[in-house]
Amino acid sequence: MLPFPVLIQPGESPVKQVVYAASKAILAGVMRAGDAFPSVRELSEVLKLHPNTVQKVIAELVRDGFLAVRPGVGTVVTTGPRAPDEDRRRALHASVEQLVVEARRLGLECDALVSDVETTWTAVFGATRLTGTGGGAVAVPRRGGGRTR
Amino acid sequence: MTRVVVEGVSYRYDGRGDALHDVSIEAPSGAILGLLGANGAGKTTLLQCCAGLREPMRGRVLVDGVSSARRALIVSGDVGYVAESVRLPSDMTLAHLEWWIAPLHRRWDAALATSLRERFGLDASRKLTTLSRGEYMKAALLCALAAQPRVLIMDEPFAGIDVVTKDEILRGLLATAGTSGTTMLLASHDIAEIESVLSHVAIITVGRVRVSGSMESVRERYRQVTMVGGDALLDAFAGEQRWLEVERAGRMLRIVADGERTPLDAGMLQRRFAGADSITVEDLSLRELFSSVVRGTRADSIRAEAA
Repeated sequence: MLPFPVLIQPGESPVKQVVYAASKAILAGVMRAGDAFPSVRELSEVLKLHPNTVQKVIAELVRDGFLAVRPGVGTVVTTGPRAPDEDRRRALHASVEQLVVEARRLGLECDALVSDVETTWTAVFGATRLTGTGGGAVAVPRRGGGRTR
Repeated sequence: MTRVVVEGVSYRYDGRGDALHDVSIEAPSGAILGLLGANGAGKTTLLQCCAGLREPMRGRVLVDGVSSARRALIVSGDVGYVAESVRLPSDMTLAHLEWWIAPLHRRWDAALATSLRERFGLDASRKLTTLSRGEYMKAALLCALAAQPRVLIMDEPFAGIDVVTKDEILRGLLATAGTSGTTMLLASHDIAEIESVLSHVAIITVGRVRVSGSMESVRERYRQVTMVGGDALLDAFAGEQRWLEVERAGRMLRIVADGERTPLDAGMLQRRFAGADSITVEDLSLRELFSSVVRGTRADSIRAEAA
């Protein structure tokens, strides 16, 4: 068994699917900084993925700052992703635009969409927020924690 | 050096047309290549040419640069071959069989044989004749894998085998591919089940290669576009060129395209066909791509006969 939930569906790239599942689990605190990440061999066997495909998954997660390779130890979960670079911010903006247009087509007002986004955010990540500029994900109470932006 | 290179291979059975026509594919060390084709497409003939069991009329198959026809690679243990119809010596137990074949292979790995036996849940003291179909195939694959060939050829190893056993076998193959660097050529009709396991794929229809390459490159190259809109728009898009496949029902049109000929981008299509209700560009599963390629080839041959 793997320490994060993932079910590979045919059609979409398995690399994308596993990267998505692992980063979601790390952001949501299912896996925490310092936790050992499964080996290529283990991921390959459990998910029935070719080892080359698993190598690509790990390379992407390392590149995005979710994992670090410790020689002699293996791959471990790190404190969180680096600050997003400009290209990827722009890519995200395109998705947001799509979401906004789709919401409008369904006749939703902006606040209804924002409240949907907030509910989903909490459901996936719990009441966590990114703090500071170092890019580390730290869980802080949403209300009454005495910490405001 | 690329581990397996199939170079312009053609093969013809007496009194029939080309079973294989100018087939070229490549698979690097450690690759698991899925060879897909409808019944009679030429998969078995191609695999037998790779194993050196048949000599191509034209072209050649190289394993680490050595022609598979010139040297009996299968005898030297460089190439392993397991087919659905494989027969093991019936009087033997698995332990006896291992003892018997180990000295024939210079890279025989007894520890690997033991670990595969445990992984596959095989009892070494049972006579091979008493094994179920799935156990029999696992025993055959155990012997082939423990010999650590450079290339392992598997022709329909999963025919008639239950899903749990299939998973055990796939995991055994992955564990071995990851550590020994054996290149595997796998012909199977269970496309959805083997898709994730593959690093490379080749689709053949009537003896010709239609699609081949790494899974990643193939996934990026072939796309499906679904367009919903009025007749004039759908006509315009459908008639734009000879797509790999075109399907239409009511206000919806689905095409499968080779992105190498026509780069397809949702934004570009949305601008060009601004009147459409929706346009989506999506990845294809291997099973969908296979079906499109096979149906496309059949439609072509019907057109050719009619002309």
